[in-house]
Amino acid sequence: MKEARFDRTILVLTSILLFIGIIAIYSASFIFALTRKGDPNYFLWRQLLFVLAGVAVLTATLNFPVKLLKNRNFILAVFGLQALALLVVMFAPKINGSHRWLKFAGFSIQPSEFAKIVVILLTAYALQKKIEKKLEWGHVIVKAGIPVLILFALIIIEPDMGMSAMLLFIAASMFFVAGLPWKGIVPIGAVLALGLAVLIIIAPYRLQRIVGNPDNDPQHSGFQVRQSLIAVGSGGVWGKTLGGGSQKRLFLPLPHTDFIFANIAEEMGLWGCSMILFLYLFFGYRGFRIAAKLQDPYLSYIAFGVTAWIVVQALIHISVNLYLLPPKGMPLPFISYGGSSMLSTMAGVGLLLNVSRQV
Amino acid sequence: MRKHLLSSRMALFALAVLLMAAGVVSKLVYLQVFHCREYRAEAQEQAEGRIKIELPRPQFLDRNGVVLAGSVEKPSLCVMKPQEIENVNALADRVSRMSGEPSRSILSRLSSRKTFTWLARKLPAEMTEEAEHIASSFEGVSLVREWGRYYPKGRLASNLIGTVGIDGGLSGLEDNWNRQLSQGEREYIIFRVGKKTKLYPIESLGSLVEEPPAIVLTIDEAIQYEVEKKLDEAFETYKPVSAAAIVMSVPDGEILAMGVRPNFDPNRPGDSRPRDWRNIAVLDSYEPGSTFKLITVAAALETGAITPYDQILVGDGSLTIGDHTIHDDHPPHKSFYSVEEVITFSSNVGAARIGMMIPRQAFYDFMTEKFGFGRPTKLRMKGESSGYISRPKSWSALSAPSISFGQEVRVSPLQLAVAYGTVASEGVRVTPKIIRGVPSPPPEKVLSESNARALIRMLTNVVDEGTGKSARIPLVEVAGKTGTAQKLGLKLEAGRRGRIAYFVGFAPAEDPRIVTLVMVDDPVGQVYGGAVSAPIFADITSFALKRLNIRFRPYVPEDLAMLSRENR
Repeated sequence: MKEARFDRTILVLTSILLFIGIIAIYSASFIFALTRKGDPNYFLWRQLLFVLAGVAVLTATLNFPVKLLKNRNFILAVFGLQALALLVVMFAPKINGSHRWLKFAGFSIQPSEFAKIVVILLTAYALQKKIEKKLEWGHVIVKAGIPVLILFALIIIEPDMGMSAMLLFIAASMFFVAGLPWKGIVPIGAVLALGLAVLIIIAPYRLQRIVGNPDNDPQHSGFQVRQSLIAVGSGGVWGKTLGGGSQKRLFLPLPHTDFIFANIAEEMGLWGCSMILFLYLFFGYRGFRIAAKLQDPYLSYIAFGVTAWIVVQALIHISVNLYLLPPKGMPLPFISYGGSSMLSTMAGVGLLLNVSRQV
Repeated sequence: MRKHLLSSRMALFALAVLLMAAGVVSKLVYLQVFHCREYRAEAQEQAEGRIKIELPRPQFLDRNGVVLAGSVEKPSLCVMKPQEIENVNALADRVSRMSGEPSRSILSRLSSRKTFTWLARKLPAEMTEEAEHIASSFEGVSLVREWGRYYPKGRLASNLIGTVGIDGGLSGLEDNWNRQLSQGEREYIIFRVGKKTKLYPIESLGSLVEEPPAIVLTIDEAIQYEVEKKLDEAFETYKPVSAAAIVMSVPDGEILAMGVRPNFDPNRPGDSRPRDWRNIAVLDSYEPGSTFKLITVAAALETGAITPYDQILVGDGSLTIGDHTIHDDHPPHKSFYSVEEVITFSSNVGAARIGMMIPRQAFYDFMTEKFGFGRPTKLRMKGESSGYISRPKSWSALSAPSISFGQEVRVSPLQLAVAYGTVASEGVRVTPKIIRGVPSPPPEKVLSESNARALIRMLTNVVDEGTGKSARIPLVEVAGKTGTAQKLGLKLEAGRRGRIAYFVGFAPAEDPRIVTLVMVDDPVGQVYGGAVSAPIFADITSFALKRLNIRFRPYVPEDLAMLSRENR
């Protein structure tokens, strides 16, 4: 096995997006931080800390021995730890109506963020076994499906609909690209659609969120979307200049996390939005290229999974901000404020860079 | 080779990603290119407002820098997007209880479609706490600290300085100089942070503007205070209709104090009647009575009608002209008075005879051109009274003798003080001033120095041995004239005698520096200027001499000097 360089382009793209993120967070959060925390730099300092920790995690995962990554017991241990963390979080006090966060030393840790990496590893491992041992698709689906569904279930009872859907999506897209026959895709799709219908029947507010017109209720649930559209639309082609947006003044909810793209759109305009979109698509191109070039199927699946996760999550965040998708709290990778999201994304990039050496 | 990963599937996935990206781009173009203007307007409308804040008027300082009128931050309450406010009824009630405005009219503003409205404006500073409380207990209500006028000395010189309302000056100097004082408004863009939250940087708007340079008045706060105190005492004792006192520095004409009763609290003008806001010392005119005899004698001396050594026939103290008889208040003790004695004993008959000796036109010209009666003073006050002297053409036989002792003529207290000031400054015309540092016009002699000295001597005699003994100030030679004018053509209330008690004079007589006029309109009980006004004159003038540290030659009147000689 030759010792090659990792993909520098991915690292450069990651750095640019992190840099944009730090500026965007400061601009988006200083008023929010001032009114909520009494310190305009509150989120900036913490995000800088997260970026540093993220660089450490990226360095660690970049140099993680690939051999260990392929070890069955290692994968199981990681899964076990993740499941345990999700169980522990169930006993943590509710924050904003859900058991998502563990308070620790002044920081909130969101264990479910890391489940994405675990799901990628689990699914890649199972798909690899299919090639190695020429297993039937049904067998593989069960093998990967059980642990993924356990994590899915643990997250959906938090409740965190967006995150659990994301896990299923990552696993499903990996199966899809790995060549799951269409006759398998159709029933799985049907099951997923049924599941969605059941969830909506249990909690009808979800349907309202999905099909509701934001203009019908500008003061409440639609208020967020309305404010997001005002932010994006008022940005125009060239934006209102950095820091010059007015929507972050407590009109845009969570301007530094779930609606950071709207804030960027307001201040940087179509031009800035296009640039960011291009960066993510370029990231996707490089990631898929690595996945396509890799000879080792396991590593190839990991590369695809990580890339698909980051690019799709970015597109979902942007789509929510533009009301192309119903409001769902989904951080914009590298840019949105948040420690757990930063660490898991950086771990994902670390893995991607790690496997890119094997091309 | 790539059996494990279907390139076609990955291409399909990538295509889906690109489709999603295309969707994103088209929505971005839709929002940011085609609907930018609407969204921009909406963003601006909910996050920005414009308010106009009146800029602070300059302070009024007394001659030593004491603030007489200043600007303080006064609380106002406002809301942006009144439609979004909850509990409007409770809010309107609270504001109504504080400001006194009916809650219905507050409600009507709250239910309007406007994006911004005031709930209450420029409340008294002491309501700041309550206003803050309302702002913090109702979401969306913001407190603005606007500049508002404040008079730290309350009623002190209230009628001179005046007061302001929402639209600017209402009375006094505030009204008189309103155009120069008003600094206009400045528009600010205010930011709203979130719906129902406070506006920024609204609370500190007042501190964003600097106060214009202050206007230094000639008023001396301490002398003014003394005047106010004495006027209060006189009002208490004599229950007059009104009263006024002027203290003026000579020869520069600077007004050191100008007090008026009734007065009002300029911080709460709404609690008083607008007629109590009038500065009657300048805006109103009265019969000057015997104080005018000085003008008659001055005119007679200047026109050469008499000399200071002439003897005037006063007879038994009555003089009949046509079917009217003039009487002396104090029956003369001899048939002929010297000119000096006419003044000293305030003989109406003597003054009438002197007046009749002056050619009518010369008399008229002297009063108007030399002493400025019948025309406004150079103080240039809006609505200033010119007084009244009819033209000689329309004079009857009785006019000249009547004018000679202060009837058939009306003068404002300020005009009278200025005329005495001109005598005090040895015949150099005095121009009254209220702003410090305004250059005086070139000196203009209106009386010869010897005539002026003769007039001053006559006035010192009034205080030494005549009707004005109560105006004496220990060790200071005082010159002055009493006056007890009769108000004509008035319906009198029971117990009122329709007299105006005057004392006008100056000190020290050897080098006059302070002119003081005291006018008490229709006192009850005592009515004579020598009894009512002269003691007030003495107190005020004595205080002003000490306050301004004016040197004088120690002086003891003859009667007191004799007393001490006898004791020896």
